[in-house]
Amino acid sequence: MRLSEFQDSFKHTMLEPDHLDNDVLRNAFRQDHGICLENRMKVYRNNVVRSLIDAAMAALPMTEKLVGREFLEQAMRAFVVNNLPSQGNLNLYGMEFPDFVQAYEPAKHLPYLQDFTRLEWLWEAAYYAPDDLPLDPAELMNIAEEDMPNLQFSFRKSLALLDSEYPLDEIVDFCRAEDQKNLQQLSDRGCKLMIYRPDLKVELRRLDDAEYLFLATIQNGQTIHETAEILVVHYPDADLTPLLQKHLQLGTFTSFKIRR
Amino acid sequence: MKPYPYMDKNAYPLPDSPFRAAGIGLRAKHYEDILEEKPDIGWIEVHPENYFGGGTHRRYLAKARELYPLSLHAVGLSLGSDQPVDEEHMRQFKELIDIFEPFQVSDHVSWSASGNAHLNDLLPLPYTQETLQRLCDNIERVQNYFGRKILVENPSTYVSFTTDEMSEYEFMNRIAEKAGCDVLLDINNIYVQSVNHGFDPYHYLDNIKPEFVREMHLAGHTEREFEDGTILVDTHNRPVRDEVWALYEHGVKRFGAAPTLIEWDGDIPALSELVAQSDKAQSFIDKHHKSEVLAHAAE
Repeated sequence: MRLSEFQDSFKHTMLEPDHLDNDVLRNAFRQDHGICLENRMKVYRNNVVRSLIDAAMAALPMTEKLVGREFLEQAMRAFVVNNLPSQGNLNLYGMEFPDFVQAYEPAKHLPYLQDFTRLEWLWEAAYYAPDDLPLDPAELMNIAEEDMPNLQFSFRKSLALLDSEYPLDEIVDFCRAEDQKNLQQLSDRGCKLMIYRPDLKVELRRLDDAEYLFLATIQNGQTIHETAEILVVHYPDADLTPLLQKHLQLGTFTSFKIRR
Repeated sequence: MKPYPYMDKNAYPLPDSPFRAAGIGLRAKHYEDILEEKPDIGWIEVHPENYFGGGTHRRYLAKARELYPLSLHAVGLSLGSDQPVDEEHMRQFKELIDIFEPFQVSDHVSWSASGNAHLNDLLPLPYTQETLQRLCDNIERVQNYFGRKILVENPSTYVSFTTDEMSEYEFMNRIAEKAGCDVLLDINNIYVQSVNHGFDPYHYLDNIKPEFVREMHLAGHTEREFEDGTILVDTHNRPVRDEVWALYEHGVKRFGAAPTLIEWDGDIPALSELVAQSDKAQSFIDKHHKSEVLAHAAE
């Protein structure tokens, strides 16, 4: 029996219990103490599936509170057996779960679950994002006035924007509250959010429509001048300067360059 | 981009090898406690995979590293797979070695990668010449890439094979001889296997060559009942059993004051309970090797 043949047979037997009529593994199996191969393989199957469920669920503590541990575990079990990780680094294993849950029949009555699990995954990704330092606003002091409109800002590596048609912020408030037992009627509105990690802890900020457009436009690589022009078309009352100052204070950006 | 100061090695002389042999696994739940309480332990161990990519975990590890010597104990190299070790996995691992300067680097005598799937468990190997060759090729690849020796740990297994050409202890000795690596002896794994496969765990210990053993592991295990018998599963979720302590004492006499780790990964208790387990391990070492440890510390 070649090692490659053995490992292939072991994998299939472990993942698909019906595969046990596979002769390669059965012929090599030593019958210790009367415990059958099927039961021994159950230990491995349980170790693998359980550890993957735990790894993927660790990113979703709020979803667990929202839908209950049992429901989430069942959904995750269905996810992991069809989405084995491709590498030994499991820190972001399960990031495709939001797309999976959208098509998951038992979750059809929870239309916000796809966006809400996506929010939690962005949170987790921010936690694992490489460290960087916020842009020091003093660095902008020496920029020539004519260069100001051509500034392009880069975001912190942990930063993500999320635009949802569901009030995810209300669901977060529910999950964080200790005394609330049931999710109240959700508002009939969407929300726009910014997720980032200024230092050790991940933060979530609600954005209004103009602020979201401002950040999304900068994220898209537009200069300050271009951003101002886009902003005024959609929100004639919005003022770019206080928005820029606010996000310099928050540490939203990590660097800038001047487009020549 | 400005580099982030993970560790200012000029500002903090990093603790080197441990003077106290018993250490504990550092888990996220204890980050704040360990930095605040600074318990009297010899060293800490983490799975490098949890620190790949950066982020908040690394910041805590950097702070803990300023207090204790560190061992990086991997679970994802898949040294026993019939395919080369993943290059990207080695690259990220090496990055951590360069930053955190561990005194030990280790992984397991097992496999988990098959094709493009990572099966996330330490799966068993048939102990054949072919397996020995594949495993040693991978260990040599890793040692060359890291520019240092690694340790490999004996696994817990729940199935064994008629195709074995040698015993596990023989296999462990042969790996160390052939690949030039060291052995991390997990005492709980030997005990678990002795029950699951029916052999004498003391005979196993007595046949491991002492010169290869540079670390020992201790952990708790769980019984899993089936209609045709009971299997011991290496669950790392409870205190070390008395039978395993007894086997460990035998190991301490045979292998000397090797760094010893208490592993606890599930149902993680208060830090004080983990430290108490490490104190117990230390007491066995002190009982049999007190003078040796002090002589080493005085050098």
